[in-house]
Amino acid sequence: MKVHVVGIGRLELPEKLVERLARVAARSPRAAEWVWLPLNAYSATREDVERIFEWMASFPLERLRRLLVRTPPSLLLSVLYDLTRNPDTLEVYLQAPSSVSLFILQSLPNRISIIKRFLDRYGRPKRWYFERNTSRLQSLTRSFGMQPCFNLLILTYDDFHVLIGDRDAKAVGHAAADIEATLALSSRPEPAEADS
Amino acid sequence: MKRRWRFRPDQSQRKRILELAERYQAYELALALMTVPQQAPLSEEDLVQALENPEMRQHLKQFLEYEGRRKYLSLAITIGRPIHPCALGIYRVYVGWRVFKTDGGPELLESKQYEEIEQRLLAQLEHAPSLDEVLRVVRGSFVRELEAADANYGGHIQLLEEIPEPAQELLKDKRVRVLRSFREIMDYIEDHQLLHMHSPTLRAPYAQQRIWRVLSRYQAGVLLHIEGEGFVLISPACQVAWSLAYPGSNLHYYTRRLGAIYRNFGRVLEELSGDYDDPF
Repeated sequence: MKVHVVGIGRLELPEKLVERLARVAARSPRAAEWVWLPLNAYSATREDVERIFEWMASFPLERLRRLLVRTPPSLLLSVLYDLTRNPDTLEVYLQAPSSVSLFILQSLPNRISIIKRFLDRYGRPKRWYFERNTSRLQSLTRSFGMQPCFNLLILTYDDFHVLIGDRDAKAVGHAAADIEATLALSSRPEPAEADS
Repeated sequence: MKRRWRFRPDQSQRKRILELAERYQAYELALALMTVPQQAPLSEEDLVQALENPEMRQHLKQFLEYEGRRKYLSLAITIGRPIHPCALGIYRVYVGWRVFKTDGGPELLESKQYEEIEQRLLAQLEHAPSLDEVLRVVRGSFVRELEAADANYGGHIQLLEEIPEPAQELLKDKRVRVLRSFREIMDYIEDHQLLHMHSPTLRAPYAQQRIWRVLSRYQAGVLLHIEGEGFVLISPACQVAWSLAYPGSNLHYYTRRLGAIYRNFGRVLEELSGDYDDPF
């Protein structure tokens, strides 16, 4: 069975992946419909795409299904390309609600390991929120003494909030100082992962 | 937009399809059946029967390569014989939907008739025409066209036997033959050329007009066979009235040259006599 990848051509899907996809489709058919569409690989090369397919085939079934359900087919290969490059990304991408997961991947790529640390230590937050209102974003960063940023993710736990911006992060609420101390949030800005 | 009913298997049917796919190792077929909305419902017996037959399985896998035809996959399975996907499109348009539509009631009689038609059409679709048959058909149509031309123009226009003088200069390096009738053209067309040629549109209105306009002055014309290039019908004054080229060559060159000779001839006449009216 072959998939059309724009700019690369028709690529053979691994047998095992086809089997996996049939199983996924039995549960949720929409998740496997991308097989018939022309896919866009953006900057990925033929080898990358082949590796991505191999990786998908080795994936646990339920995870594969969740991954496919929440990813739009038009972005599938680019998202998977990001996920293969960094193992932390996959955790965060799958744990976040589908309304913010793509935003995290695309606009806060270098904050993903911080989010991962939060998830490991405090579990899933009650609420994930991506601040899109510019004026509210400015007033938030200013009132909490953060550096100005374009994208702000707010994780809400039971008794504290965590604000994660482009350049730094801040914990707010009960025991905020402890959280910042343990996770070393504001003292050490995260190195940009695009460089490494 | 017209909305059509499309068939998607529900959860339990999908489970069943997956089981069958596991048994026969035909996962891509299962994938297609589950994700592509099908144009006809599918019964389980048909599916099992199709999957049991390895030849049919192979055929169905090739079927998925045709992008526009995936939605007919269940129809192909229902028919149960390997038919080319393109032929299946024809089948669906003329027969398929009627057969699936009827289930007893006043339409039963109609459906019986259509079943008969269906069987006949299926038999025809399975049998692709051979090259000989195609050739016979094309040759027949050529012959009919040319004979009709003979009958049309025979009484009015005389086919002369000599190459007119102004054309002799142009054609002196070529091997040229004068033909007595349009029907003779078929003697010089071989089978492998026939399939790639344009049809001799002698009866088309524009061709008739042009032939009549060019040949009416002298009520005569010359039909030439230029070897390796084609057939030309010219007037005694060398204007081209009609032509038919062999595949891969064209006769526009002659149209221009002969017409030019004619025009020059006219201009020379005009200069000499100072009194010449263009007949066309």
